[in-house]
Amino acid sequence: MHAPTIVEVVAVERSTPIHTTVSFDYPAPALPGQFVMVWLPGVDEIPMSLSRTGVRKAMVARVRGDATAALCALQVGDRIGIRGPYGRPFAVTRRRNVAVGGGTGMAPLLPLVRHGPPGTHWDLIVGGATKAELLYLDWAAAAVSDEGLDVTLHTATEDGSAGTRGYPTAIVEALLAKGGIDEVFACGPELLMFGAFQSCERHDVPLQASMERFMKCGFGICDACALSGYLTCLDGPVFDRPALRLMQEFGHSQRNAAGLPQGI
Amino acid sequence: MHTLPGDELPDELAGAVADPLLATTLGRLRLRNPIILASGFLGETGQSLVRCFAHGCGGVVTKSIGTLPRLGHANPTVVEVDGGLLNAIGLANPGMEHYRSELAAVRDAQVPGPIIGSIFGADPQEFSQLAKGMAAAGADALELNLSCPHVKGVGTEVGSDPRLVEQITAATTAAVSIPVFVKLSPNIADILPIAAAAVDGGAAGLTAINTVRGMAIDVRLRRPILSHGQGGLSGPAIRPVGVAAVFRIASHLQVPIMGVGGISCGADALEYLMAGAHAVQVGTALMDRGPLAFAHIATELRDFLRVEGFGKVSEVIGLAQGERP
Repeated sequence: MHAPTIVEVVAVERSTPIHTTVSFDYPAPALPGQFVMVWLPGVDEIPMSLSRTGVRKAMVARVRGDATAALCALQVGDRIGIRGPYGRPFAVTRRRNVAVGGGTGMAPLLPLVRHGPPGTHWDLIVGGATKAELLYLDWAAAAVSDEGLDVTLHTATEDGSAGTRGYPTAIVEALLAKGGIDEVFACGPELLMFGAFQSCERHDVPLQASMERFMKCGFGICDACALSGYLTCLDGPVFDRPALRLMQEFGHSQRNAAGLPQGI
Repeated sequence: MHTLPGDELPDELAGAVADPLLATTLGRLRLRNPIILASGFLGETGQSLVRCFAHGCGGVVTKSIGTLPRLGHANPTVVEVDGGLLNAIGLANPGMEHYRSELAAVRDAQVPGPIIGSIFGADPQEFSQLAKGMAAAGADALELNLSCPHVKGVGTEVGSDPRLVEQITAATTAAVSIPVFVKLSPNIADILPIAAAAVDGGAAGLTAINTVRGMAIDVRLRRPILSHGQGGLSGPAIRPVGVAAVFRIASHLQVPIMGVGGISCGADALEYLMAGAHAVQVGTALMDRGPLAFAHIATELRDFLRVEGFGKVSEVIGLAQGERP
């Protein structure tokens, strides 16, 4: 039933000075890359990626508008509505992978890396404006040592306060140039994903990117999230390289609530 | 017609949607099959309309387009309820100036059926301007949305006044040479006087019905789920309402009717056709049956006609009316 199930917030964490992670219990099975529609009563209903995909689920936001402000202001015990999960998840079928995330784009990469098939090697690239804003870096570092994941951790910051100075796409390009990478998984600002796409095209490496568009229904009937003929909610949000290649809007424009194209 | 990879219909479905048994007419419009995309679904962008043809529909009705871009109501704008879907999108649309480019993409794709442009406005002048815009953009016909139940000043407030309906229809038909269909609201005591007013105004045909006014409340949050409060109900729950409306109109007026409301399978489409509709529109069925709903419904309709020995789909139109005077 595409109607909100009311859940109570069970935890709220300030994951970085600008990112808030909100946890809730919602038993419907979900896979990394899928999203839920989150009803913030009296404010809005928005699509959110899941950073935890078990019965206890989590989502992470930074304040961008009314809806994310309301989400970041949630407190333990507050009631919100959840429907879904929706959409096509990431699919890990290859052994040596790169996962590149910027900002809240780290959300689906966390469960992706954590629940990938045994024997998968990950180059995990965490991008942000400053060292303090690198989301889930502590988790990633702990996962490498505690959970025995085969992860090589990279960081990129715009101000150079940690890792490579600049965008994480430079690390993607360097890794692909070196060779031995089977597939790239990307989530973050569209220009980051577009940069990763260009590198993957140049080096002919498969890519899955999680796209974001304005949404209303979430299940493929309203056309609000139309993306060059595709529906982000139903055909995506995770798209592969052949589909991304057909999207004239990728990296260039997105539609607002009226359906008018706006620059990225 | 250009299709996205993986959008080609399986042979069985592709055969059905173009089966000569289903070829029919809706006034001057020729349809490869009578299954048409209803307004408000997948019609905000030209490429999605093209894809509906790839998925088997016989024609499409666009999203309702107004003069200026409109953001619509805040989310939640859609919620599933028992027997259907409740929505209060609030006539969100990119405005006629932009929408021309969306329709150009559909024209360029050389789709195998008519594009019916849906428009909404507040008065005859606005409707006739929008009609000219739609016609110039390449629409094959118009559908006047006189019946949106969840926006003030347009919609049902316009569509429940027979005099205004006649004036708007007359102004629109005078402004363009393409056929004009008028979409009727069920949210009135009797649909027939409004239908008759539209025909008196020169409508080439009618569409019945728009959504039924409704509301859903979340009891744990003690508030309506839709941000707008009330919305319009579509889906299986309203099918008997729509079938009764089409039956009543068809028994009194001799114009082609597009039947719409709760059509999810071939048998549902047949109910409307036998009530007197010439074609049907499908929207909410996309929720449960997915993008191939058109092709599946067309296949089921074709199979019924074959089994029951009909030579073409038009033979079933109005059969449930019995002997006509």
